[in-house]
Amino acid sequence: MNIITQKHLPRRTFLKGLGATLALPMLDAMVPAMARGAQLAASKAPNRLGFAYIPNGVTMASWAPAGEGSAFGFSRILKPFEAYRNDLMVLSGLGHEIPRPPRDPDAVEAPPAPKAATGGKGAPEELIPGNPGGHATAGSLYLTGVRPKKTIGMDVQSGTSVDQVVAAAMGGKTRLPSLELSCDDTRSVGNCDGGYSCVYNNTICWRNPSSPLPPETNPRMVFERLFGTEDFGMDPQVRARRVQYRSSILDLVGERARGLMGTLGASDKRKVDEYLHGVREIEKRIQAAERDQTQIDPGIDKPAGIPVQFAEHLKLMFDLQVMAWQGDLTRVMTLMIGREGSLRTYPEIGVPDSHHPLTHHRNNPAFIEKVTQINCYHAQLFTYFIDKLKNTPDGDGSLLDHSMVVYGSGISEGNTHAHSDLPTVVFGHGGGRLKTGQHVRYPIGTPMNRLFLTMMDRMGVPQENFSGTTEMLSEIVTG
Amino acid sequence: MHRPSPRLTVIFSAIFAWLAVPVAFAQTDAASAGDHYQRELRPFLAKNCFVCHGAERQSGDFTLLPFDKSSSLSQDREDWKQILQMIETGEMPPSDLPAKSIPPGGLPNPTEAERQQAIQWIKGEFARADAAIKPIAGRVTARRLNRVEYNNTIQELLGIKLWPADDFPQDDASHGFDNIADSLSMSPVLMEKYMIAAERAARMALFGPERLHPATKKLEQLERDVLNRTEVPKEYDVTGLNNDRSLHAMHRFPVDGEYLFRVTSRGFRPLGSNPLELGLWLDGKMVTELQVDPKEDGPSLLGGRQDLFGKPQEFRMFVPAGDHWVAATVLRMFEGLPPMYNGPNPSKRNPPPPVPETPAPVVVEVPAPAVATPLPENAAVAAAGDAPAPAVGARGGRGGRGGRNRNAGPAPIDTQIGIDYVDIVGPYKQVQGPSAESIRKLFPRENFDRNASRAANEVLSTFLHRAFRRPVTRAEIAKYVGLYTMVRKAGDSFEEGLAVAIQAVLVSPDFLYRIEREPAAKSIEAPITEHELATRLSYFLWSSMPDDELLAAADRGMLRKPDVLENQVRRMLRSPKSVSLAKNFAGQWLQIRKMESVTPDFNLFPDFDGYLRMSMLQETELFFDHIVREDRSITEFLDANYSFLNERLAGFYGIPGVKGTEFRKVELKGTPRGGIVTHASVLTVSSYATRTSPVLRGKWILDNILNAPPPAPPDNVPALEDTIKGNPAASLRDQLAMHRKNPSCASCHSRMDPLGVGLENFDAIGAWRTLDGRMPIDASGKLPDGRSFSGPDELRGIITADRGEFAACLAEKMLIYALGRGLEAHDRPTVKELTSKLEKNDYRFSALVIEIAKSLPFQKRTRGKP
Repeated sequence: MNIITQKHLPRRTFLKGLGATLALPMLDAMVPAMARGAQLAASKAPNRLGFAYIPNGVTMASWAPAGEGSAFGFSRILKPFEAYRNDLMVLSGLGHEIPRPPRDPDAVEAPPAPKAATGGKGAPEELIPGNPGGHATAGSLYLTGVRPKKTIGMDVQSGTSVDQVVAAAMGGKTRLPSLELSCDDTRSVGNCDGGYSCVYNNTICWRNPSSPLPPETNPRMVFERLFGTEDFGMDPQVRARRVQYRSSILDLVGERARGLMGTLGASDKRKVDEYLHGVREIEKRIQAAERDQTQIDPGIDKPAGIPVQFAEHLKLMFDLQVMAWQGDLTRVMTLMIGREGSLRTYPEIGVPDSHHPLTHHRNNPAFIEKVTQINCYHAQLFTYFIDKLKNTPDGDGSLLDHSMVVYGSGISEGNTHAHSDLPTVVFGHGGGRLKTGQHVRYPIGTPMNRLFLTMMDRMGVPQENFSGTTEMLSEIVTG
Repeated sequence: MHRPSPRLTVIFSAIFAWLAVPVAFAQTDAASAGDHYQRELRPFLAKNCFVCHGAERQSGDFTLLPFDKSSSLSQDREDWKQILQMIETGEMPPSDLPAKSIPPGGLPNPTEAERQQAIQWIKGEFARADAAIKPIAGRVTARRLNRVEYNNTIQELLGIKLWPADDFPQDDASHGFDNIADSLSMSPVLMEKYMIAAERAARMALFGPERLHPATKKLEQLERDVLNRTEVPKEYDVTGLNNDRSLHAMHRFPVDGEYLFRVTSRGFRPLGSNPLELGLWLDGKMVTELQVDPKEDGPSLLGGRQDLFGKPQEFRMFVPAGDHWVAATVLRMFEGLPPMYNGPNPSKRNPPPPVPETPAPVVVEVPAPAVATPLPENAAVAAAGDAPAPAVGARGGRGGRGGRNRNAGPAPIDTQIGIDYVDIVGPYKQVQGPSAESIRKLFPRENFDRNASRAANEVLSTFLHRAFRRPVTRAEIAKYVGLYTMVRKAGDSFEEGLAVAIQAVLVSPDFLYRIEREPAAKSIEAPITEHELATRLSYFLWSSMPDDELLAAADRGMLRKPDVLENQVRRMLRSPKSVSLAKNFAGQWLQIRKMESVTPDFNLFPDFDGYLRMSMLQETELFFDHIVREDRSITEFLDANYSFLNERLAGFYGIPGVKGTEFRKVELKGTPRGGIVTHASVLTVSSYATRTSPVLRGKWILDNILNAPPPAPPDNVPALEDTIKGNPAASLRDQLAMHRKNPSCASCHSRMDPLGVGLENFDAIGAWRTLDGRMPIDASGKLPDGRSFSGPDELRGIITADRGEFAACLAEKMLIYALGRGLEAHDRPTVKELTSKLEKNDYRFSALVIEIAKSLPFQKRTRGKP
């Protein structure tokens, strides 16, 4: 109920080949189109990579599965996933930093190494326990493995996120290198978390260490990115001329921006450089589109906007994601079910309290229960996506056969902001070489980066090193 | 144990020591601070602080050792500000600690004289450092237009009603604002959106709005439950606007055109009642009355009552494009009932037939599922008893609809009667063709000859001048005319050619960014150009491009003349466009933009509906706008004994005599309210969804009024909830006090909490209360500096007394907003100057704006690194 779009997305999209009578949507004209989608049935399906991020950690006691190996038992939070036992792996113990023993602020502690020894103010943040900004670091650390620079200014700095490493390698093979989505449309004003810029909470995707990618929250805009904005039905000649005009416009403004560069100081140059990057990306897509004129017709109406209800919003995002993979419009996607530090309330499940403050429950059972209910709710909703992937034919199997989707958070127990032992489930068969149907418990402190290296390898983008880690997780792959 | 006596020192002056300390003091001694530190301060620290914050122990994860040198006072100013604050407020060294935390030698116990000596020495060092600061202009990075600025600029430039930036990614904010140059980044996605937006905007200006297919947009509020009436009240709101049965929403109508409104009611009414009358309102005025006449052909789903669900009533009307407040209400709710209910204007319909003997109704009790699925779209219509019932206690709830035994007597007057939803379907009869405004803005004169060979050149010359907000060269014009020519050669029309050229202008860096010229290689800093100054002014005061008059002043090279500048600023403040200051500056400074997204628990705070949400935001925006427009003293932000209320908000505040939807100035004398701190908007954004938080409110005051933001809390501090759990019987105030016993919390909370406690008489949505649950509210408190208060009135007095700090706070925030950058040490003299100018001008708002416009960082630019 309460969905803004009056029309649900149908389960199938329709791919049309060269010469279809369809108009090119406005900016579709600029993107490499869909020949590959049409070819998928005939050739081997590619592998896809996805991440679904849940904010503020989970109640670990209700997350941790019982036992290890293939006979493990599903915990309360993971219960909704039980139907997909053979399509998933639960991984425990992975994380982004060495865990610390909990501290009692009142206790007279044995003196640790004096802070002065590390240079006081200039000490690296990770050496200072009790560092605020646990949410900002969780979000930005999650897919990058790099601690963000503490700043609320221009100089945001993290690392290139794993999805973007793969996206860069996929560039040109699909209409969009990657799709970044979020269900949190909250306006973030100011310093979000202990002196860290809001951007660290708002996105988990970084094109490079200084360029965060803002996720899209509006299903309509996602639709337009996938299928274009223009009236289907425009005269093909008019359309072709418009494409030509856009090229000329980009030439003109690109030339102007390059001309400006010489006259500017360093910080202004950085801005104009960002601009030029945008211009070049669109130019590339126009060129690719000129080589490849196939078109896709989504066969559905455009969503009107963001549905009122969270669950409907999330489902619509899942629908769009499935369509994007089904049509091979992109192979890399991230979805933030909530931004880190999310304050969303969940009255529909009897939790009218804001999520983030609840997670700092300090062991109050009532609060823990509410957090757990939110965790369960997210998991329950997520099965909609997995179910769709499993039931969408793709090549010689289903989309779930040819994908890897990590469901998890950059925080384990929200109460303590811990970045170790992160809740992690990997769905999908990744093209066949993943040992699904098991729970692997790694020693706490095992780098999450190892999972990323393994996944990049499976995506055909093997890396020697990711944020200082060089090993893969051998336990989750065959041969 | 010795406890420092209350002192005259105002604690918050610590933060602004450089304002408070006389310059003379700073110049007392130019001798090496190193000697001084060793002699003056280190013994004090060694004796009183190092035991817990030295080499042996680092309580609260803090040690003073890295700061153990003279140079640190200037290098680590922020840390020293906190250190000073701790000593000055008497928080450190602590006077009391849990036994296990007391260091081996006992708690340090400096004499008052020793403390004062240390305090004065640190302040003196600060003042000396500040006196040495040479103000420089600084530099603002090229600023991309943010979303608001983009929309405003496109509309002003092209005379169109289009909001393309609504589809852009959110702008990142820093330093509290979303117009900070360094945070406004660009991405390929955004570039793509700029391309789309430019094409839409250019085509709309030249060819009129794009044809839209009619679409449906459903307006509804989150499910809430209303108190069912069992008897006719003595007084009730005949308009229905101000009660909990109405629906209110802001809706953006995309184009001028006709729209169909489908108003759908809900609930049940006794048989034999007259048709239910509904009102449809647009922008506070009723546009039509509608009637719902439910069938009475037998028992409805629940028997013996009129079923008001799912009977949409339609009305179609022209609506101009833009944001409009749509409301649908139940009119004269207690009229037209059967005579037996003794209501006014009773129904003359036949008395209801006897209620047929039916088996006791089956009330479907649906237990809340462990994982609730959202209600099906038409659940409310299909089966009133079937919907899962949220736990709502006394307020009935959806399940309550069926929960009455209707055999026990006449049907209740009112079972959840109200507006279920409003569909807006359209547009129909869309107005087509370019607007007169667009034609006036684009074509230089009437009867413009489009066939003349120089026509495109003429149009584009003027357009580029306005779009780039500066003079343009012939070479620049030629490039855009070149695009036009290319289009014409391809066989397209004059307008097509212009559209493509305009599209290019709108994605050019000269339009999307405000790029300021570098000072010449020789100079370190230089005045920005008059056009850059005009642009800074218009985006500061209007969040939009310079208008023709401002541009003309810059063209003539007159803008920098002090009287011209001042007159322009005053003119701009008087313009309706300066409402941008209320929306964008105040919206972020006071954080009231959050009013759009806050979600108070609607079961705990059933009053909080769409109308109240809008009204709260509007009160504060109107109040701010009043200060701007009437050029009032900024101290009225703190202690004004008036505000701007409509009937809804006045009713919420318990202030009688305010009727209707219009906001008006209302005297507050004799009420507990006055000043923005008591605005419901501010009280709501500084609360949690389910309860108030003295901590958040205290922090809000420190951050936004007193300019003394507390540092971020350390990790792993026990949360208040722990204390609450351990002491469930205690009041929130006592729980806070227990919480403050923890020394790592006390240092900041002893400042935050009392300020927030003083506002505890206002609940989490700002309603007045004297009880919190069953606990009586005690809103008295004492600040660490010794000043005490008995409640919100006296607290306001204390805050108002700190008007110097407030002036500095507002000056600093507004300078950040005006410049689009964070402030640096070299800006301190400017803030100081602004603050003293404000004081000299009776704190008039215009003085602050004019002085910012004249200030060094606003007028000049420092050369950057190549």
